[in-house]
Amino acid sequence: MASAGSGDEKAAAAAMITLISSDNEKFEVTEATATLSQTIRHMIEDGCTDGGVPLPNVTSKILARVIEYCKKHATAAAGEEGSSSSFSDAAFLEVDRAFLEELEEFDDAFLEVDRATLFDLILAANYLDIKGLLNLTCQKVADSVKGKTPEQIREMYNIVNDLTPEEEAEIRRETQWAFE
Amino acid sequence: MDESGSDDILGLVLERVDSHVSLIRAAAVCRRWRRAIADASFLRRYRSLHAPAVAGEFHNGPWRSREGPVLVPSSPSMVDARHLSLNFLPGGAAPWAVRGSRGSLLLLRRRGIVPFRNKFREKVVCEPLTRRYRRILPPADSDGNCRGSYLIDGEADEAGSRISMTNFRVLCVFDTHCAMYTVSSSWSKKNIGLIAPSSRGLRLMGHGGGCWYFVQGRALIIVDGNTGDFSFAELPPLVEDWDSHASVRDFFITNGRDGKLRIFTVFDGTMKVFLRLEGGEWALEKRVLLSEATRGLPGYEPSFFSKPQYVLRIGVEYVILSPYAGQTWIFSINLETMEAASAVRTMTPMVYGCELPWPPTLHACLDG
Repeated sequence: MASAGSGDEKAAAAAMITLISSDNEKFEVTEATATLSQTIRHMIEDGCTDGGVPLPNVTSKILARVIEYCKKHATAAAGEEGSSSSFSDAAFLEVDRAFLEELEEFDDAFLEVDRATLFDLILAANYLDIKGLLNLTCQKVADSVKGKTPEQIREMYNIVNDLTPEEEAEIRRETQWAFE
Repeated sequence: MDESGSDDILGLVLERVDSHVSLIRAAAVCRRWRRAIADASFLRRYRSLHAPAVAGEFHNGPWRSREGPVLVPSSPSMVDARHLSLNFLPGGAAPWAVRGSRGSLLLLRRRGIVPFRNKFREKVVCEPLTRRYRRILPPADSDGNCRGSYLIDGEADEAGSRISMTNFRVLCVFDTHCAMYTVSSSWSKKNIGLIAPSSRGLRLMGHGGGCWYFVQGRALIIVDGNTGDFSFAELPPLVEDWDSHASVRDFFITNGRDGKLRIFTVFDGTMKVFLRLEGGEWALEKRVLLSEATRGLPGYEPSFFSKPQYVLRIGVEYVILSPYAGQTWIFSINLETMEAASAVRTMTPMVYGCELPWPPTLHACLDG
């Protein structure tokens, strides 16, 4: 997954950042990709990215997925900016819509992961402060809760029920209409 | 989520659960989830992110119906209709007619003949989902007819809710004075600065931004739901030739989607929208000649506009009108674009929405 900088002159001209996962794998990404993370953006601004950015809370497996997300969304952002100058308004709107649809498809496919990975992605998005990814992953979990009973939610997420049967009955009585 | 997720992340997930019913169920998963959801700042934030959920609408059925108010559940239904039954009211649902609604509460008035010595018809404020009601008995010194009663917000509680069974006001307009009922202090007499010696002609224009707007002649009477205070203003000259033919029935107030307050008038075949500016004055924002706006609609007849128009229903950004009350030719005007469209006759002109209670009752099992 780790990619060395290509020989392409353009790529070489773009500032590259090295991210280091908890299991010591190195990932080289463009600054545009890396700065989707507010945490890394601040590090770059403070000039403390020489020799790579260690991310002790993120494994290589998860970091690879996070970078995949950031690359796609950084490209989309750049594409939108570029297109606005070279297309008429109507054409721009078309391109804009196509970009958004493609991005949505990417996001849907990106979320097709097991629950453990999903939670690791939430933790990484929170730690790296990547707003879009945090929203996407949290919304996925929130949607999975919809229409479920408390018991189904506990099963889905391996949550221990620390309420006694009496307490559960009391809770239900309080808002009976929500449970029937 | 049980072991690894921090409380911050749990909050981020729970605030995105876009169903009130699912949120209440989530609050029964475990103590940690319950604490997170019952937290006042979480509830305030949730409220700012999600629109209130309307469980159903009530209307009073056909004239002289003996069945009591009729429920139209929301679609798709979020709560079993039996939980919205009004059969818990004194004497069951039949003796009551809905007069107003706000949040999860309904204001109902007893139907039938008014007792001779006490012209105040018994009222109740109730919350159908929790099957609670409070009787509103007449003020001790009430005299004269009660001409109108209005359900109004109370002071905001810690979760930001302004209307609940422990937090509401009822304003009653009598012949010569007004009285305000609050849950904590019962009735208080209010001087609402009637310009005439009686409340004749006083009318509710609508509410928006937490205030209720009444009009009598050219006087605008503003009731602040949060403080319960009254203030007064003069209506701007919204129509030419005001004194000779304007009637208070021609003015309405509504909140735009942008949250700004607007007055609209339907007068002499013209609809005008006035926007309230920062300084409090009103400026003409849009106007449209109704006969022109509706010309392209099927069934249009120029003669429809030689008579006054009736406002049948006011929505967030539309108004439904008809040339004659009870007519089948009905149209709507979009208050943003001022464009006309054919409208369908609503079952009854007046429906009263009933939201899910907010904040939800989450008292049990929060210790420790």
